[in-house]
Amino acid sequence: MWLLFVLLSACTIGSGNSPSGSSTEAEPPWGSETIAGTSGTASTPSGSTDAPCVVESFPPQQLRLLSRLEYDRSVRALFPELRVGVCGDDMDCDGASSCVAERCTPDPCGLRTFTFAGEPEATVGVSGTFTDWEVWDLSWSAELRQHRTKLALDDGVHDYLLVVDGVEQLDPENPEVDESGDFSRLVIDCVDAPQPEPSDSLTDDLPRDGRPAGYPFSNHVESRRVTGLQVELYLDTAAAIARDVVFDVDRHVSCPPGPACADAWVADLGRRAFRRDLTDTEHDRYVAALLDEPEWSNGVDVVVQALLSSPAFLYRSEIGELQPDGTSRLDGHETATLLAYTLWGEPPDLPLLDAAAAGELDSDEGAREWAERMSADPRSREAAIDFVIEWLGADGVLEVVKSDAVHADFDDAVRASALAGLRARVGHVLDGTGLLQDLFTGPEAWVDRHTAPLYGVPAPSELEPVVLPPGQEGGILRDVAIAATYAHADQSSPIHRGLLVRQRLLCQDLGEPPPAAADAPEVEEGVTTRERFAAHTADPACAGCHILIDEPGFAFEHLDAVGAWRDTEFGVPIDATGDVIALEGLGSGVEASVDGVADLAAVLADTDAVRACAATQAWRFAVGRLESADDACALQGMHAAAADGDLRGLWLAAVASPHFRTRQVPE
Amino acid sequence: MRPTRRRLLQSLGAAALLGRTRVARASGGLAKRVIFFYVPDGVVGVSEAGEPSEWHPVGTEYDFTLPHNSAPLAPWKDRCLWLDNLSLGTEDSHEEGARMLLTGQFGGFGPSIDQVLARTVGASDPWPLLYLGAQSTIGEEAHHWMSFPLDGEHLSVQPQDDPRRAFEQLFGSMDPGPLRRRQSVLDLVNADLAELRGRLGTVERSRLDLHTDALREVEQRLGSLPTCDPAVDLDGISDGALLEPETFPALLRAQTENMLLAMACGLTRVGFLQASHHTSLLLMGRFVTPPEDPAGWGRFADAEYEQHVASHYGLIRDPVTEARFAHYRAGRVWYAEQEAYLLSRLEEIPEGDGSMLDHTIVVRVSEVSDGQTHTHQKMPFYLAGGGAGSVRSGVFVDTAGADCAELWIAVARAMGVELSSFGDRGAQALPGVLA
Repeated sequence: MWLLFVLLSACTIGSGNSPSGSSTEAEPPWGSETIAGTSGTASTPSGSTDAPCVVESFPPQQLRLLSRLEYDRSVRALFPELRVGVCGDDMDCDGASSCVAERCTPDPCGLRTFTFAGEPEATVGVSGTFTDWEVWDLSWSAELRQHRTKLALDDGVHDYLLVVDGVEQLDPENPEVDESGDFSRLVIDCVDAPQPEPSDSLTDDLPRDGRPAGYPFSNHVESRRVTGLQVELYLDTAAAIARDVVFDVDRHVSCPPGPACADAWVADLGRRAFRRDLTDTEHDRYVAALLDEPEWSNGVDVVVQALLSSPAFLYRSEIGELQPDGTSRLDGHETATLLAYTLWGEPPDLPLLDAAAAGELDSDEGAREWAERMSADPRSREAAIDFVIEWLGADGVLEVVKSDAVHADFDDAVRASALAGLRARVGHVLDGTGLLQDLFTGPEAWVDRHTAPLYGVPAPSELEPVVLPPGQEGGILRDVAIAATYAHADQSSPIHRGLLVRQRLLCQDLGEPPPAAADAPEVEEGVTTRERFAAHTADPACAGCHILIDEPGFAFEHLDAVGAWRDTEFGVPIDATGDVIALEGLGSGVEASVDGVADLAAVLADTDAVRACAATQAWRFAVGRLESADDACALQGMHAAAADGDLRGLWLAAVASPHFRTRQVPE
Repeated sequence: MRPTRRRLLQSLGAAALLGRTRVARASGGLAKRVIFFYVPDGVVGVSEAGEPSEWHPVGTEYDFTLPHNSAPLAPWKDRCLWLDNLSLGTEDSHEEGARMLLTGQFGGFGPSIDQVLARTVGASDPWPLLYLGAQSTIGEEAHHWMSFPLDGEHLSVQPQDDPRRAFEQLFGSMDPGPLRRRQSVLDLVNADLAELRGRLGTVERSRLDLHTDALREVEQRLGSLPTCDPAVDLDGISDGALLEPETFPALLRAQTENMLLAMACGLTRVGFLQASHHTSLLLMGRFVTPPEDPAGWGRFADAEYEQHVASHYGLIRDPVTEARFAHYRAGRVWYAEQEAYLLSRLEEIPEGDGSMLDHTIVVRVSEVSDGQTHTHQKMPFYLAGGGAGSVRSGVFVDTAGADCAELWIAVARAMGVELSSFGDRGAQALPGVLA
């Protein structure tokens, strides 16, 4: 997360751009990246594009570990009919879930499992207040090697004993006993406990996606590796998916078991998993492993597990083929893969793989034609929404914690609805003009009953666009998902919101926060947030940076810690005015005075640097890293092509870049 | 040689230790294992106004007491080596502190000391390194993680944050059928990996090396399934609860148990427990008894503070900053209680003629000293357990501004690993640490 109290005293206005240009190899990686980051985006859009641009270096050859999102999409593309967590009986599920309608479902609050690990022949029962002291039997599970039964208990205090071969005893698995110590005790309190649902997630157990400070996306290449503890998570996840596949083996493998089927099925699944044809060696190895298993379903299990654990699946290959000029160029299948994950967020489908095999992607022209076709495909819509959400960091709303004392109503349902509302807004823009600037405008927000109170509108029955009270609009900047993510537990945060504008939307890098900056002003009865933060800009030592950050941050002041609209704070009318300077680059003199979030949004919609920043972010997303000085030419082209704000055009601009499929070969 | 007063006191100090420590020392004098215990965002150290640290011992080398922040460790005071004036370098940010903490290198280029020990002491263990966390991966920021495996490269790997998964990974067993199939899977994957490595030559070599090493560890574990069948209390830890501040104590407790049981079972010798992350957003008021309302604020008594916000308790302790200061202090005491819990659990488990604690080195670390100033001087570290007599105990050592990297050389030597240098400034084992 952001640091709070920020800022470099070196951060003075009008000092021009950060150092740029020269190679920064001797510097630590974040240093070179952030410095170059500022320079890259400061060389804003039009005007500079005709300047000669000398390409010194291309992106590195690399293997890109699938992000959690990419992994999920890739598996679902391989097995479109996959049922996650499918089961025949409770024994197929872990101890804390049961098989309900063929899906492992977490046990509801009152459901308790009674177990006893004894001899298989023993007679074991449970007797207690909930059985009217009758003895109910536990049954032996050979797999789990224990006697067990599940019972649904009502709210209240329950005392019981286990009865083993006719002898009563305390439950060894339950340390709680009644006051006398003679009975085991369970206290059930399920009021308000939500009804659990079966999980549809494939990636809960995979490692989290690491990223460096300042990189918004989940696909950062250098930060994400397979190491120690983590490799097993990939193996176990693959095993769980294989289990679901094998459970419905006829659905997923349509030919009758036998060598011919093994040949065909391995070739097809392998091709889609590896995003290229298997080599003969690979093909023979997988087929042999399948047929080596006496049971067909076990052979399928091994192949699915291994394909999903193979480096050829887990890593997107960007290695390429050596060219006469000493660079490397992505081959047709690698290009198809890069196009598919960039434009669709998922692996290449069969037509695209066929096109790659037929050489249609060998030429730059062919790749561009395919990119245009893919850009018109509905799959590009979801991917573009994902891009915008990660760019804004809006998925942070799912994890943000608010004060119980002040915002007890801000629960998981509100969090999910807030994000869904923002996604719907982005989708609406994509379906219409497709223009970035339209994310900042419009009279409505996408609201459902969970978020309606925060928007101050009547609750609609389902998620739909609702016109906001006059003066309270502001596009994405007014959305709860943004305002609540960039705020403290019990107060707004002009700093977090100002940094959102400076760093994410304008791509202005203010560097790492200085040590021992002044502390955040305290919430104080009767003193507004704005008054408290005034000290920042009054103190010359802080003012250099805080004037950059706080002023756009103040424009959000009508939105409290959870994104609800407010007209006053402690009875004092909100002052949401701010002088937003340095709009078109830190060294620029372009500035605007704004009053409120709608005003700020309108200014940003009209700012070239926002569109240039979107292009920079799209390039980062496409290559999986923060830009370096070597990306200057690519970014120059991106900025020029993206000047009109067409969101889908960002990808086409990336594809058109000579850097898109050329890779540097290490010396 | 006639004993100097200092030397005499030292030997008296040793004699005053428990008998079993001497036995342990006789039995080899090398620490069997190490646990790094990370607490984020420092302590109430020396304030900007010069007020004394509330964490560092007060007194002299052999005669000292523990002040407010570290008071819960009083029962363990004489089982620890307390360090004064230890330096982490000349930077003073959370970020650089986290990078330098275990690497001793500006910029956090690896390897970190935990990784060095994993490759040496832990090389043949089922888990060469066990890096567990509690809410340390929220936000997915790689700069929150402090274990750096690669030589000369900046890559921090993440802890396992889910104690249920960690427990399964450590102690779970597979039925014979699935186990045999996993071996077939590994054979296929290893063959794919070897072909890819062959094709790429030096390109992406470190990435594929890490992957290959990790798979080798998996095979190592398949061959030696744990014989232990321990129990860890995982009640109340559900997918949703993993993120909730209220669950944090249960998570840290469960990970502590996972760690020490894995060690008791002989699964690992190098452990790293990370509580939250630097610039912590944790609302500790949810489980730390709310402090008194010192300023009589009424409604603001239940103001909630992210721990990092609280750590900036202000230059001047006025009624406004007092509430934040009280939250931060209470949080520091809570962490010290968790450290004491780890030590008490290690002491409960017998080993040899003594306890596990006797044979272990617990290293308590943080990425800054004082939370308000972020200073990297006078780092709040101690070593507990004595490592089978390899490390001094019951003393408070003034390191005179020595670099943390020298402490890591000393810890490595206590485990039988000789490092001629470490990090940017580590040239020798920190004097005064080894027995």
